[in-house]
Amino acid sequence: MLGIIPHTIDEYLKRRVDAQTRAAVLLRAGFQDGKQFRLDTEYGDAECCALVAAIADVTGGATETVFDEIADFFLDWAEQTFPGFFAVAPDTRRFLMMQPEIHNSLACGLRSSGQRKVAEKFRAVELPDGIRMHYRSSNRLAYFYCALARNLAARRGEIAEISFIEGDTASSAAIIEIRLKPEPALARA
Amino acid sequence: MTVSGSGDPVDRAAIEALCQAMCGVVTGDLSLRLHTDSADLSVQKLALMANFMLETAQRAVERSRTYAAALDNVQRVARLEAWRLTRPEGEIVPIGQVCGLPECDGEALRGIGWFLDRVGGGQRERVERLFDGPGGTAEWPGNTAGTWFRTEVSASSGDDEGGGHLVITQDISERHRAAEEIRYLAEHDPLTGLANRRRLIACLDAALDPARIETQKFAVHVIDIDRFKTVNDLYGHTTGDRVLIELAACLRGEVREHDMIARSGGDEFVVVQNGISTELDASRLAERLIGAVGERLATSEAAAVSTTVSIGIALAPDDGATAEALLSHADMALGQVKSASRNGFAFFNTEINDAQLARRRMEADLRGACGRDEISVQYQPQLDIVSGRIVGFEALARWRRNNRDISPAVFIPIAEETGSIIEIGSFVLREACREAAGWRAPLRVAVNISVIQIKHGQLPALVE
Repeated sequence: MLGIIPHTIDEYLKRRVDAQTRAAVLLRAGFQDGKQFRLDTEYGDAECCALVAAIADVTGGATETVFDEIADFFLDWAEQTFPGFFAVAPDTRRFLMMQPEIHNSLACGLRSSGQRKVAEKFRAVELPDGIRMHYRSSNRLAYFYCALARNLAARRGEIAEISFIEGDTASSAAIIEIRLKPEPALARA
Repeated sequence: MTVSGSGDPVDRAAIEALCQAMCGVVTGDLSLRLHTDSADLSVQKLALMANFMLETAQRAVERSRTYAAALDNVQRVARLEAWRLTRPEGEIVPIGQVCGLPECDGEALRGIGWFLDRVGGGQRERVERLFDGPGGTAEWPGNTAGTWFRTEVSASSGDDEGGGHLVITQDISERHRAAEEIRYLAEHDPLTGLANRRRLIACLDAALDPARIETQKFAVHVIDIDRFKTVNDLYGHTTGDRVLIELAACLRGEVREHDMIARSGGDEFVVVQNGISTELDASRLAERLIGAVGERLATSEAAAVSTTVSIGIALAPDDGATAEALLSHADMALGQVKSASRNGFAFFNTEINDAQLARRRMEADLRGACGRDEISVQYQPQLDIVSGRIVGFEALARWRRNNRDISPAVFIPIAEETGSIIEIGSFVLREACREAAGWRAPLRVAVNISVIQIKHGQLPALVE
């Protein structure tokens, strides 16, 4: 998994909980206190999942709630850190279409030439009013993907209606349709 | 560690190290990856994004190679090659692996002149003109026999790639051969290889063109093998086909190169004898053909049945202004020969025409004559010579047409040839039986039956 995910989760912890709770979360997830997650390094998928599960356990919240909060925090961080990616795709649909390429190139960019070929987790198919995402990952993080898509749409004044054509939020392989429509003016006001 | 303008510490040494590593890209090795141990997040981000760019570039190159390989395959399968001609430099830029002419010695394209030198069939100027304007398409023969190419030229405006032309040339020799084959099959008889009726009509139409016919008279010989049906019936169609092939070969040997021979159907052949001066030229050819065919067929498998032909001749333009008229008139003349002696020839003349027209009108009138009450039955008594008593009657059909009685000797043969005899025979039989049923004396009635009625197979049911 890209280092930017555990890095932002750690940043989220630093901002939202005290040092003692952060240390407890890291410990429960199998990390030492003071662990620094690098942006330019790959981490094991299981480590990331363990981190989210530990937050839910330690803070007493549901995993889904943790993912929703991390999604919001992650997008804040990403828009500040990589504004160029968002500038070239002014609407949600275009960004979601571009996302697999960004993800795959970032992930493969971290690997030496011999290890470059990775199974592509994301494959997006364009729909007239959204996208159809073919998602494959043993992490079963489809829920996180949906939380990010929903949050991104809301930031752009859109509503993302998400349905699973195959699988569900806990599946290792799922086909997800994301239909986008403008948020009603009243709600935005 | 130094401090940036915003006051944040910057790991300048790590940035310098990354910059040094980036220089490695100069070799074109996009598999290069940058690594840093710096704890500085900006340096980590720089390494991450540099690797992202390298990966994106590497993917683009890999895709491009995949597409190039696919393009090579497409070009090989479709036998087409493409190149750009830059302007004003006149440089050739290949698109794909080979850039010459498809299937043309594998030579590489050496310039526009080299390309145009390979345009055959006097098409060079036409192809050259494609490079003058916005482009276009031309099909042209190569210098090697049987090769054909299609070149499409499109002008490219002065974008990133510069001005010039995109040139795509495809080897269409196979398609061309197939088209020729189709055209040949559409215009020739597959058994004899002679022109078929369609080509014959086209040639006759062309020969009848007013501008041509004024100076070029010609004769149409319609040739028919005598008793050919019997050949087929006795020896089978394979032998019949061999006789037709023999006849075609014989005709080929007897006519001039600029005359035309066609098989117009069945055992009917047509020779168009071009450039005749008088009727005598046509007579001489007809005589020669009858003689030559007679000799040739005398050695054929069917010699015992048929060794002769009959020929009907029409002269253009006197005997017809259209192909159909000429063929029809030559056919009438042929009919005249057939009904006389066979193994001879006859010219079309107006008497034949009148006789034929009269007969055709009679054929038409005979159809439905029963329904119009024009056919009647008359009864001729049959006497017992010893006792002198009438023992029965013979029923006889009579046709009254336009207030004139037509002799049975005239209309019965026509009715038999056209099939009208079935209707007439049935009518006479019914009438005779109805009449006889009303007779008080025990008399017989005799009705003449045509062999055509018997062959037709419905006679027993009719009698019952």
